[in-house]
Amino acid sequence: MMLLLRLAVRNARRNTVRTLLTALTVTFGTAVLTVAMAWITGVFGDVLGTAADAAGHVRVVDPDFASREQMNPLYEHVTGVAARAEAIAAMPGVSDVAPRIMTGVSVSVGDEIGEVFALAMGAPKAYYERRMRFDEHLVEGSIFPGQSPKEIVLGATVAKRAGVKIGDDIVLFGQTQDGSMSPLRGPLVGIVHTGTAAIDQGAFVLLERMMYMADIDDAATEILVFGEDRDDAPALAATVSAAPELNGLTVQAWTHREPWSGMLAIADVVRGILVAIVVFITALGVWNTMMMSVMERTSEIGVMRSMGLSRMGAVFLFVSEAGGIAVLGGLLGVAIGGAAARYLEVVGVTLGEATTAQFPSDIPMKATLYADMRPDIAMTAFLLALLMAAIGSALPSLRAASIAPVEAMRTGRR
Amino acid sequence: MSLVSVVNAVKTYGTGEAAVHALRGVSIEIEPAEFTVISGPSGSGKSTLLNLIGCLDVPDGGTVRIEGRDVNGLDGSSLAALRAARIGFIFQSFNLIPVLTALENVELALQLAGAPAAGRREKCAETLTAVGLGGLLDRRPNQLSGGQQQRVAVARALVKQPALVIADEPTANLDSTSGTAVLDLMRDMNAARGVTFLFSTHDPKVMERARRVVTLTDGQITADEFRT
Repeated sequence: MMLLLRLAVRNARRNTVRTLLTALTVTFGTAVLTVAMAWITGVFGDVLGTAADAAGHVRVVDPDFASREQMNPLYEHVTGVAARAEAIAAMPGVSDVAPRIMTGVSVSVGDEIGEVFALAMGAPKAYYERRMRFDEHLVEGSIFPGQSPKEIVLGATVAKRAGVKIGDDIVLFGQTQDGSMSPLRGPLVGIVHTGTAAIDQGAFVLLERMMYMADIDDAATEILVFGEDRDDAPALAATVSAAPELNGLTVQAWTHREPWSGMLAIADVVRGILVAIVVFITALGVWNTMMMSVMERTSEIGVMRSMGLSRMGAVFLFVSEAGGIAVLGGLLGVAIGGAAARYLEVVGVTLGEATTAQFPSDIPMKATLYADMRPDIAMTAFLLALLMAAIGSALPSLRAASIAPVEAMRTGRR
Repeated sequence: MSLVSVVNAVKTYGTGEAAVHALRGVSIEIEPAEFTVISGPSGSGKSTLLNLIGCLDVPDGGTVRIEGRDVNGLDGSSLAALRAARIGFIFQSFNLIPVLTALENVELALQLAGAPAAGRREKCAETLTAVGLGGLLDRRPNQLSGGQQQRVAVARALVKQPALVIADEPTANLDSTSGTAVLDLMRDMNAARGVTFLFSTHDPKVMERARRVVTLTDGQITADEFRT
C-alpha cells in the first residue's frame, strides 16, 4: 500500500506543470466556494438573524390575522395578552416574551398630519433593549428613559426626513382597530440608526401607548416568544402551541413564516447551485489531468495488471494521485478563500442605505453586508475539494481499471 | 504433473469474415525447469499462446492448466492473484515503472504478490545483486542502460520465485553484447534455481540456447524439437 502511495505521489510529480495547474484549479474552486459560502452564510444569516430577533423565534397570533397579515387587521388581535404572556414565559425553553403591535403612521411635529410615513411599533422596553439592541444603535438621546410613558424613539431615516430633534413633541398619526384616525403625541427621546432600512424607517413606542392608539385593551396583534437559540424555533413552537392558554391561536416558528422560510429555501438553493457548478467545473479540470495520465500510462498499468495489480488497485493508484492534488489544492484554496472571507467578515461590502431601502420593509437588509467565516465552512470547502477529486478521478480510474493485463504484452513490444 | 498443460486451445479474434483464428487447437505440455522457445513468423499465434499460458487471456475453446489448475473458470481477480504469485513476465521494452528505482520496481512485484513488508527490500536487493546490479539499486530506469533495465526486469520477474517466467522477445531491444549477457543470466537462473522459462523470439541466439523449440505456424504447432 505504501509503495502504491509513493508511486501515486511520484506520478503526480511526473508532469509538474500539469499537476500544479490542476492543483491551482482545485485551489481556485475551493477558494471560490469558501468565500461564497461564507458570504451566503453571512448575508443570509445576518438578515435572518435580525429578522428572527425582531419578529420572534416563535409568534402567537390570531388565525385571521395570520391569514390577512398584509392588511394588518388590528381588530384581529390576541386578547388577554398579559396573562397569556405570563403563561408562556413560564414554559420550558422560553427566555423572553414580548407582545407587539405594528401599524403604519405619519410622523410630524405639531398638529399637522405629516408627510413622512413610518412603520410604528409598540412593544415592551425590554424587547427594544434585548431584541432590537437599540442601545447599541443609539445615535442621540436615550431609549425610553421613563420620564414619561408617552416617549417616542425614531429611526434615523424617519427623524431626518421629518426634520425632528430630541425633545421635540412628536405626533404619530395612526388609526384605531376600527379604522378611525388616532394620534399619538409624545416627546422624541431617542434616535437609532441600525443600518437596516426597515428599522431605520420605524417609529417606536411602548406597548401601552400603541394599545391606546389602536384602541385595544390588554391586547396585541402578536405575542413574540424567544428561546435561547433561534435555530431551535420549531421545537419551541411545538412546546408553546401545547399550552392550553393558546387554544385557538396560531403558533408559528420564524422558519415557517414568509418571507423567512422562502429565504431559507433560497439560501439553500443558491448554496447548492453554486457548490454544484464549482465542483463540476473543478472536477472537469481534475478529470482532464487524470484522463491524460491514464492514457499516457496504459502500458505501465498493463504491466502492473499483468504482475497482479487488481482493478481496485488501479483505481486506488489514480484516486490517490487525484486525492493528493486535491489535498494540496484544497488546503491552499481554504487558506486563500478563508483570508478573503475573513476580510469580507471584517470590512464587509457597503451597498448603501439607498440601495437597501429598495428591499421590502420586512427584510431587514443592512447597508453593509458581511461574510461569516466559520470553521465548518473551511471544513466543508476542503471536503468539497476532495469531492472534486473523487468526481474528477472516478471515470479515469475506472478506465485504468478496465485496462486488460494483456495490454502489457501488446505495449511491451513498442 | 506438468507445470503448464494446454489442450486443444482455440482463440479467435473478431467475427464473421473479419475473424482471425489466432490459435487452432494448440496442445502443449511444459514441464518444470524447462527453457523453452516458441518461435514462428509474425501472426503465427506466439503472443496469443503466451497470453493464454500467462493467464493474461482465456481461450475460446480447449483448456489451459497451470500447475494442474484450470484457468478457464477463474475470474479476473483470481487470475490476477495467480499471475502475481506464480508467473513472472519479461517484456521486449523492459516496461519498468519510470518513477520507481530499480529496487522499488522489483519490490512492487513482491508487494503485488502479497509478500509481507518485513525483509522485502532485503530480498529485492539480493535478487538485484544476483543479476549483477547490486550497486545500482537506487537508480531509476532512465539512469540505466537497456541491458541493465532488462536485468531489473529479470530480477522483477524472479524475485517472487515464480513457477514460470514468460519472456516476450527479451533480447529484441538490446545490442548483441547486452542480449547475450541477459540470456546468459536467464540460463543461469534456470540452471541454478530451476525456474521455468518460456520465450517467444525470433532471435537465433535465444533459440540456440533453448532446450526445446516449439514452432507455430498459422495458429498450429508445426514442430516441437527437444535438444540436449
